[in-house]
Amino acid sequence: MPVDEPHRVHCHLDELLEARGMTLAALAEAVGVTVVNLSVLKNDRARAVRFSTLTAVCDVLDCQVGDLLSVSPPQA
Amino acid sequence: MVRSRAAVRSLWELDRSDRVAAAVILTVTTVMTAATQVIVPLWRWVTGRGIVVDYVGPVDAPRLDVAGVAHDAEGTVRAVVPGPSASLWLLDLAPGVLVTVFVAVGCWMLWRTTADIVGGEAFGTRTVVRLRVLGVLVALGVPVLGVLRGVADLQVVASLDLPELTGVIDVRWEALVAGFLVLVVAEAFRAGTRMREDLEGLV
Repeated sequence: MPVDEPHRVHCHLDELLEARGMTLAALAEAVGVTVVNLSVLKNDRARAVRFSTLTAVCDVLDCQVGDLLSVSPPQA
Repeated sequence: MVRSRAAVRSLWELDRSDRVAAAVILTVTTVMTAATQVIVPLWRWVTGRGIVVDYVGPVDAPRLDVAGVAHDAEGTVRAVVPGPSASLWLLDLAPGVLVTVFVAVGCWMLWRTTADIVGGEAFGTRTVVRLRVLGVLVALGVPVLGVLRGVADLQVVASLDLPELTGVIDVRWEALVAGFLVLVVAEAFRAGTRMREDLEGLV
């Protein structure tokens, strides 16, 4: 199956942060990633995510990768 | 004296002086091509001289005959065709004009690519497009222009109305290999461009 561009992965960082009453800056501080990079992830502009970043974000937010990311169905 | 690893590496790196040298060499190449392919023939036309053409025909070599040295009875000879018509002049000029345009475009593409690499922008879509155009120009343009030159020469030789003479069609097939090499490099740059884009979006 060919790789489609742009991707259809949607990041739910906004909802997770809101549910935990946490700011992006606080998450960046806890995870050790810049706010700019987390903002790229939050706004679905990331093209690749390190497993280490995913692990750290999920640890801090106490969630699974599936809670953080989902794939939208293809548009007809 | 042993060169340090950094010094050896810097010899291979393109810098500003390479960019300037490339600009000079490519400009001279373009100017020389225009001079030999367009300006000189135009000057010969204006001053009433003939068309210079290579033909294949009977070759006499009396000194070789006297010395008893065998040689081909036919060979390639450069001749000056006197008093050609305006249409024959235009036909002779057309391949030269095309060659000049191809060389100018190719040199421009090469120089812009060099400038981008020196400026740290090696892996970009523009570089890939330029290298692809360059590859096609070399792989297809050079053989096609060789055929056009040969066809024009055939017409010029035919105007002499000497059946024993024929023109020369020199197709540079090695250009196909050179062009393919440039296209392979373009593909490598495309892969590099994609890797850079991925890296820029890596979180």
